Amino acid sequence: MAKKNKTAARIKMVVFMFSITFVFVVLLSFVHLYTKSRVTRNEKLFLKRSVLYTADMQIPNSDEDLDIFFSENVTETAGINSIPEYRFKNSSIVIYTIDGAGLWGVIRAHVGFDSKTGKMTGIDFIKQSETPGLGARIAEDWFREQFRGKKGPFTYVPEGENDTESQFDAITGATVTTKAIKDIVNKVTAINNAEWKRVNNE
Amino acid sequence: MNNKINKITLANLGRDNPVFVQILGICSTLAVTNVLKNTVVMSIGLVFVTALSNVTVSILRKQIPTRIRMMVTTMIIASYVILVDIVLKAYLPDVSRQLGPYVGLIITNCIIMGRAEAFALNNKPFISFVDGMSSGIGYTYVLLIIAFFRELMGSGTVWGFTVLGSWWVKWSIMVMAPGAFFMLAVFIWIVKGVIIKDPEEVK
Amino acid sequence: MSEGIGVFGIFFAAIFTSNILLTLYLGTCSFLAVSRQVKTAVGLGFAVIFVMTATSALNWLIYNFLLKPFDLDYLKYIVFIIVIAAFVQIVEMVIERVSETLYTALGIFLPLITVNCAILGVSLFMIIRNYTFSQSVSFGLGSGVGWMIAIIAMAGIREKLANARIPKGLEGAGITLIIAGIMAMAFMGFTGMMGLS
Repeated sequence: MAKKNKTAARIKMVVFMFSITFVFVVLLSFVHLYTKSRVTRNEKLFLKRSVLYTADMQIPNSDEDLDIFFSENVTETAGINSIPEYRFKNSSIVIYTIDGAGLWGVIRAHVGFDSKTGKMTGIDFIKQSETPGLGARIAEDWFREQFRGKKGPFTYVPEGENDTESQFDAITGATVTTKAIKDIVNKVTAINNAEWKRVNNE
Repeated sequence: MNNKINKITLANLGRDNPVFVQILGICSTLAVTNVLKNTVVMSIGLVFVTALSNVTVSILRKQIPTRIRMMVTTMIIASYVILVDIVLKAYLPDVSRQLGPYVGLIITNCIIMGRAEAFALNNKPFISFVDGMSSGIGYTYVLLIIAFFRELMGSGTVWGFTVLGSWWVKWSIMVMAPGAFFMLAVFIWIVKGVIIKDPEEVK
Repeated sequence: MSEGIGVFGIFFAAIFTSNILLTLYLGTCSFLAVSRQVKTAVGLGFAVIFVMTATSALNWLIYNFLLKPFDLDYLKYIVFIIVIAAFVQIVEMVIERVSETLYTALGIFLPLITVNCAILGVSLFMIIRNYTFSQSVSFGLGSGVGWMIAIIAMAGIREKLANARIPKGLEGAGITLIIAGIMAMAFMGFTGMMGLS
């Protein structure tokens, strides 16, 4: 008798767990599907804003203007080593999307160059999971803005001490992240130089 | 009823505070408190999840088989956290990007689990809601205090704005792991030593 | 990002340089609660190593062969936590049947493990960092060992402290957190040795 009860209890347990999981998963899937288009649109807008920020261009205020500006002026192609590139109409600016290895995971950045002068127009991080307060400070304005108008290959110096064209401020306490950023910008610099050579030869 | 609500709220904010008396939810207390902004975002998510999961567990409390109650509770908590995440992604994408890495931390926050186990399993839904809310708030203000000092001393800023000038030598250790442990220890020391005079009375 | 780091590199990094407890604070709750005696700390430590390694392998398989192909990425938290909870439950049942001694040694710790944030943390990190299967397993094993080293060391220190005079407000949690802070600083020293994260 006792054994029978035990089996019954066990079955009830499994059924209960199964049904409650089922209810929640269905609920979540519903919300997920309902918001999916919004989420994808948000992500696209985020990427577009980031591209314009990197190119040091005016970002249109409304989402509609942003879409219009993009469809009229910007082309997205796969460039050398199939690294995604954004190019602008009537402009020599190129934006590369590039990955690097950070402390906790992948750092993905948009890096912009004026391919005529080889100078950077800007950098923006679209994906990073660095330590908040330390490595994550790469997303702060002072860090991103310091790259505008600079020319690689880069080296880093202690915070607040950069004064030549090829130096940038490191982040105190986040050496691994700083190194990762150095690798990223130098990698893109090399790609951009190759690209520049190719264009000149044509 | 009103009386009970007041009592629970007060207890969760002071004498039974989840962080410095029950020592719960330490993991996330330490992980997010080096910058004030992240702390606020995470806390709001936490208050929401604690309150709702408490209600849900309380509604189901008579049906949940005892042996698997932990499994059920974690499942409920995880569902709400994902819900928060999805909703934020769709309607407040900027906040969601901030919260991103902490979503997982909310799930594993022992406060939510602890309240569900200790309170919601034995109480009615509404009162469980109150309990969840107030524990969440009790947790939040402790976090805010710690985060304030860690950011101030570690980066010389508050909410990202520079407060201490360049004369301040930043204590990077405060932003890193050991600083979190020390700060929380000092906080507990002050609270236990000064505010709660007699620790025996609390129990 | 994962190709550059070897399996052994990950294993040692998880134990020392990025100890899951002392640099990521994961699993602090049970760390504070169970570190009073070395004996119990060892028991819990072994249980954590076992569950962490097994669930990181299981979750990796489930994530890469079930969730990813069917675009169910958003469900990963829920799935991971269920896998962990179910695994712990099954292990508990099996141990109870198989060996009485093992059950008294390990069994009592198993329910505690479900709520140990470190277990879920390991599963989440291996996804975020894009580890391969073998990397994930060594990461799970390494994190478990690292966690155990930290908790045993802490328990050893606390046993000695039992007879020491401690300021009143610092008794219990306060002093434990300070020790954890000092330990975290000591472990930071390993970073320079390894140059790997």
